[in-house]
Amino acid sequence: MKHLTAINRKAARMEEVTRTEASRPEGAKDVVALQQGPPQQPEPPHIPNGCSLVFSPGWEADRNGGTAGLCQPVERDLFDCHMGCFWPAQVPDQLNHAPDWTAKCAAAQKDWRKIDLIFPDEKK
Amino acid sequence: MRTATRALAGTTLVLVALLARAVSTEQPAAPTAKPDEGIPITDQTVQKACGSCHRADEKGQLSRISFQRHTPEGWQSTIQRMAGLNGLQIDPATARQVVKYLSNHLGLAPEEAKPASWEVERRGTDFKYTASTDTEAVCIKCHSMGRVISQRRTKAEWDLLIAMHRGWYPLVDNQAFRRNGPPPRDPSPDGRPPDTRHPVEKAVDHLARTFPLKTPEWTAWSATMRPARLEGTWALSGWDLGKGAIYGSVGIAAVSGSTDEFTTTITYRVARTGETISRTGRSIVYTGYQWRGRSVAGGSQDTALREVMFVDRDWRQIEGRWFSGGYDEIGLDIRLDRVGAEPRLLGTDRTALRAGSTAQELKIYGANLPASLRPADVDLGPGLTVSRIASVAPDLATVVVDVAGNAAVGVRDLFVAGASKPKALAVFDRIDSIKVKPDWAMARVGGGTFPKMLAQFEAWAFHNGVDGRPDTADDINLGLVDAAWSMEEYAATYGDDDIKFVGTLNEATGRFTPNVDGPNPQRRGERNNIGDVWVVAKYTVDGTGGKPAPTIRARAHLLVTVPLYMRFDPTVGGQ
Repeated sequence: MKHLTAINRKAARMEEVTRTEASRPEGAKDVVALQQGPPQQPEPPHIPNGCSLVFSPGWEADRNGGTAGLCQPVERDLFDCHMGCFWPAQVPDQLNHAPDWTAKCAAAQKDWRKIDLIFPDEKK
Repeated sequence: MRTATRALAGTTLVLVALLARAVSTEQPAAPTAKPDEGIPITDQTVQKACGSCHRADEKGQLSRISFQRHTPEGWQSTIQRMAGLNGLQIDPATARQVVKYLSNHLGLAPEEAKPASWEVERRGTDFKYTASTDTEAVCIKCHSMGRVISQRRTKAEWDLLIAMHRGWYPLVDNQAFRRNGPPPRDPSPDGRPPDTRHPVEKAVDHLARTFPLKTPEWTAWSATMRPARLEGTWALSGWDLGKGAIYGSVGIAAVSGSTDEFTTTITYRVARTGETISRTGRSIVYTGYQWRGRSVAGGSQDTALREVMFVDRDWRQIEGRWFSGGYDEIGLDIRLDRVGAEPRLLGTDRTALRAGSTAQELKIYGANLPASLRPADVDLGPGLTVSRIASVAPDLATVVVDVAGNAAVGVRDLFVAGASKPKALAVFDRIDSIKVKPDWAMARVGGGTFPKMLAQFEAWAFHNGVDGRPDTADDINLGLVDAAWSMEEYAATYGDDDIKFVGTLNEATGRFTPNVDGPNPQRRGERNNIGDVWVVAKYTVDGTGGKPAPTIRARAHLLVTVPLYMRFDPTVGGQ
């Protein structure tokens, strides 16, 4: 592949990754050719507690078990999750459980620090 | 045109009427008031607290309540839901009485509760429910399967539970309950017509059959259930993640005037370092076996640990987890064994000795170790000789050991004065590899508004065994080693620089502390301080035969992710 030269930035990045990978010891490589089979890694985890991978994107982890595919920053999407009851186990919903959750926030993203945690046992 | 319109209108009316009729005949029959035999509720406090909404029938059965069984945590979250959503007014003391009565009389038998012990012990377990994949798929889209398998209900109650979800979470039908896409058309491989039911219908059918209200286990347990008499001294052995084995003792005393409440005095040592920890606690035992407690060190609430344990049927062993942390992620595995007059061995400070090494000090933790201990009483197996006893106390003996140069590599059982500890320590000639445990972990950013979720790693050393190959059945586990910890970029996205933002890993202890929550203006798109990294352990093996000391390494995947904005984790028992 030495006769190929990267002509744009993305290709240059790929070249850089390939070069870095080649210098890593065996067993510590993140990128391998398909025909080599996956590196000797344990089976990827089912994160977390079998929860939430099915929503797209997931709350804690995306479909690949990583964070690259999540809504980011989470505050950008938070208000909509609260209004629409989309993540009922992760975000208090406005419909029934926490109608006043964002009462202190004019804009959830700006004032995210004012949002309280909901502890069911404190709601007597 | 007019006639045509009128005719069309007439036809529409007939169609609407026909449709209405079809819909009304398709409606499932409304559940009858008492379709099943429930469990009568005889306690006046519960009748008074719940009876204004849940009316009693002539048998003393309260509607809904008498037709389900739960763990203490399950009953507590029911009460919290009633207070949060249905306007229940109840003071904490009454609520505690109600939880206790319902857990004792409408609880779970040990055999029923044990499969979901990880739920109440708050373990980050990778659980797969294999009995019905449809049921698992329906339930785990929002919450853990542990919530489901730790309850028992009549068929009508399982139906009502689904109705409750539909009422409170209007999107749930699309998110989890109903099938997306057309029903299957092809017959199943055995020739039967395709199962066109929605996942939730299959799930309810499975749950009603698998987790009914009346079970032989509960009938048998309620016949023999009584307050467990746990007073006495118990030997403690456990595991503090990151620090390793802990050994000590727990004194349990009954609270006067009570049959199911206890106070505890806890002392233990971290085996590898000798660090001593003392705690005092208080607990309630529900249903005759479910220990729920809380203990602190030095009276400081910052050190509080919640205790969830299961008392064995014979009252001789108690096992479970003690935990704390913003997400209950920091914890100890605990096992208590009742101590009689006999000596008992718990473990040793070192779990591996090198062949050919001499005058090695070995600490043996136990209970009732005899003061007259002689070197001949300590048997470490072939190739290991105890040259002298350096010191001995009832809970700790220090012995000096010589390991023969030709001692066979392998694990040895330990016998001391009639007591035994299987697989107490290994003899090795070299360390071939290390492994990081856990092999994956999750942390959550926090510290601004939300708590941080920490992650703790350990490095374990291994010998390849006689076959000389790694990852085979004959590998010998040599125990914890002190590795140097660092992080490396996990190649999930090009140039995301997660490693700069996610947080810090203590290079000596292997504990990861995530960064602060909230958008980070320094990251592209104001991403949170989340990301994927490798946690890498490096260990320099002792050089042998004049060769340079090689460094071996291992790694684990760490996922640093977003906070949870609410939590379902009822605290039960204790103070």
